Amino acid sequence: MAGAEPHINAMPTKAFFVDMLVKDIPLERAILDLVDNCIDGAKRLRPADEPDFTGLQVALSLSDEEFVIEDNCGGFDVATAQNYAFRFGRPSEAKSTDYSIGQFGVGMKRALFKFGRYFEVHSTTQNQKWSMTVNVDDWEEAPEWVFDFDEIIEDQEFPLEDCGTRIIVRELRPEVSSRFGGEYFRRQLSEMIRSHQRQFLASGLAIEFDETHLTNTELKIRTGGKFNPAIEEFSYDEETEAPILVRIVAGLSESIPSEAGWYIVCNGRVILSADRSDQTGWGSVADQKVGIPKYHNQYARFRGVVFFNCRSSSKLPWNTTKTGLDTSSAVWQATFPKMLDHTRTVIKFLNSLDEEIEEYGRSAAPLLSALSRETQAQEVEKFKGSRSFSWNTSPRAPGPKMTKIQYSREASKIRSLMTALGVGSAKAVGETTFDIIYKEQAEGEEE
Amino acid sequence: MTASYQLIDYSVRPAKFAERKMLSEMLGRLKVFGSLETYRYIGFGSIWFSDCVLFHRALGIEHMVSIERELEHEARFEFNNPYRGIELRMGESTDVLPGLDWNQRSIVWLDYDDPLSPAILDDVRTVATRASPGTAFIVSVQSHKLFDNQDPDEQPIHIDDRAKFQQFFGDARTPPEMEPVDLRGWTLSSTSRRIIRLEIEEGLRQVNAARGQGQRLQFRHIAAFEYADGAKMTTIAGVFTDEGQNGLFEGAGFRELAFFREGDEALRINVPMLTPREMRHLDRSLPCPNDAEIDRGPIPQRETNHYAQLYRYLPNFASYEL
Repeated sequence: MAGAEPHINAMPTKAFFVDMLVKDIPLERAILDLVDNCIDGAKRLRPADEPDFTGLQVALSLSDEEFVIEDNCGGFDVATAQNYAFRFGRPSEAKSTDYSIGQFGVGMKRALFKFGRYFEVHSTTQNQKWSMTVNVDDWEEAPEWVFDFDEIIEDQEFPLEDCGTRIIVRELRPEVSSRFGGEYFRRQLSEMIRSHQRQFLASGLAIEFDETHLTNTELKIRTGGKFNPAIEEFSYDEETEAPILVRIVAGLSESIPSEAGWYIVCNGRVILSADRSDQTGWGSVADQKVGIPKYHNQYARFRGVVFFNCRSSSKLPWNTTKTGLDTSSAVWQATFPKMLDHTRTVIKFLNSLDEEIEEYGRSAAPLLSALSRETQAQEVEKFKGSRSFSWNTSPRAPGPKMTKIQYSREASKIRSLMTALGVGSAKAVGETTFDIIYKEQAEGEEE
Repeated sequence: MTASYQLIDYSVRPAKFAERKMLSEMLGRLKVFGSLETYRYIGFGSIWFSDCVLFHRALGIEHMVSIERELEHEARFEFNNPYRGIELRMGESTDVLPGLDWNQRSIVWLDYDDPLSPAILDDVRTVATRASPGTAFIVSVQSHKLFDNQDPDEQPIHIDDRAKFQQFFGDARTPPEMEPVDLRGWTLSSTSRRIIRLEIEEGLRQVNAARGQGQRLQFRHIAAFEYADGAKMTTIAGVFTDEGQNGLFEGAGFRELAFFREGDEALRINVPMLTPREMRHLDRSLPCPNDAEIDRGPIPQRETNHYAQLYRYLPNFASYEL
């Protein structure tokens, strides 16, 4: 074997690498990752605990031909592009954004390769402007693991409003093209962006989606009178440079099944929304205490939010791709039992509310009318300062005590009575027949 | 819920009757795609089988499937089944439709008594993702009011704004712009049609991704109707064609039909209120390309126009009332 290499070649082919890279990420996720990168730009540009992003914007447009995302969130410079942004995986010496949500490590490349076979990136910072074009077929042929700049302009001042990044992907993969072109996909995606980035939208960031201005989804809890949500604030890892601030808010809102449950927010990004799974304690049997029942629609008024904030985003309880919960993380372990306590309290209230509605009917239940009379809906971000859940424990009953009767009879007989009595529903048949027999047999007996 | 066949004899609802006649005229032109005898009809024949009878007699369709969900009255449906060629399938359309053989060219009429719901859209998608080229697809829904009845313990909620719509139909099926006016009156009819049409498009988009060039299907919209015999109803009708059938479609003469509609607008079926004598009088000037030139005598312009538009399709039972 004269002249043979002393090593065995284990270098991955680029095509294999690209295929592996894009497999495990849903398309919607890949787009959210790109939006996250823009938001991290905004966070670098305007660092603050409660930043004001007014004037900053992200614009997305997608069709069956092309994907474009463009922001004015500061851009990134040539050195970042050369050394970090396009490396696969985050080099250990890379500097990170405080309170970041994006994944500089893989997010952007993965999204670009996932969408299509051709992409352009243009970025402008205050003193640099550069662009690059990648034709994936050509790149896979070439042996070097590098991309080339098309142009670099340095040592020139650019106005702040022009600083930002623009990414274009063309030659979309057929399956991607088919979905980008679909109305349903675009509607779902815009709802996803609205709910996941709601806090940044609320902080003034403008997101344009196919030329429509997205508004943040509302997440509100009712408060006022004797009704207050539970609020608990604490910090974790306090001794370190990057403590994690945790705030739990749990209370009542409108009865909307699809919005009920827990919301988990890490550095402003909603990673779980309206969760009613065992991850957030539903349907669990706790060790010592009474467990939480499985979610049922009588809990449709329940809203719980946990905000986790930390300068160093790697300490937050999200998984490595920052798209879901890491239930084994220490800070989650510390938070979870507190959430269960608050869930239990609110659920106990909702059970008694439900019993009362059974008894008095929806229109006459005193607790329900007190709730709607005394309280107003307020954005969850505005609840601060620990306090416990409370409600009006002695609401006025509006009239005599009521009891509900429920029974079944043959449908055809009920229809006959509907015709005979001239009423339009089975409920009305029941009420009218009761009133008739009461008048005949018992009138005058009540006190 | 009362089964509608207990309340209404479909054959005497005049607007429905006219709609069925117009659809029959449209379906006759499907013969460019294949002889009508080889088509299969799929519908909800109810206890009257009016659609099956008409399409058998007028078009010569031999194999018909009638889906019926009132399981406990199966014997009565069988008793009323007028032809050997009609195969009665008991069950919910959601369960029956996926099990049919979709390789066969079909005429499918999902003629619901209910207003639009996610379950109806699921049926629409079932057909759109399975239909073979040349298949005609007709969907009728009630368009009086939408109701959210997903919680069986609660009174159905009247859907009168976008939030309630989204709650029941989900994010993808909810249009980004939806005003309360889109959910009431005649506007709800066009909203319902637009949503059904988009569901068809989305279904096709899904299956077309896996189809080769030339085999991708398209839904060619041909007609839309709205009327109120009692509650408001609306219908859309069209045909699935592949890229090779464009010429056949254009040559079939659908565009020449007086009720051909491509866009969102529908033909409103207004049944004229006329005596038999008045009808016979108007008949003498018909057909007439310009309504204004009809010798209408003392008959109001409005009724004259409605009659001129529909006279070929109206039932003639009125004369029996003399």
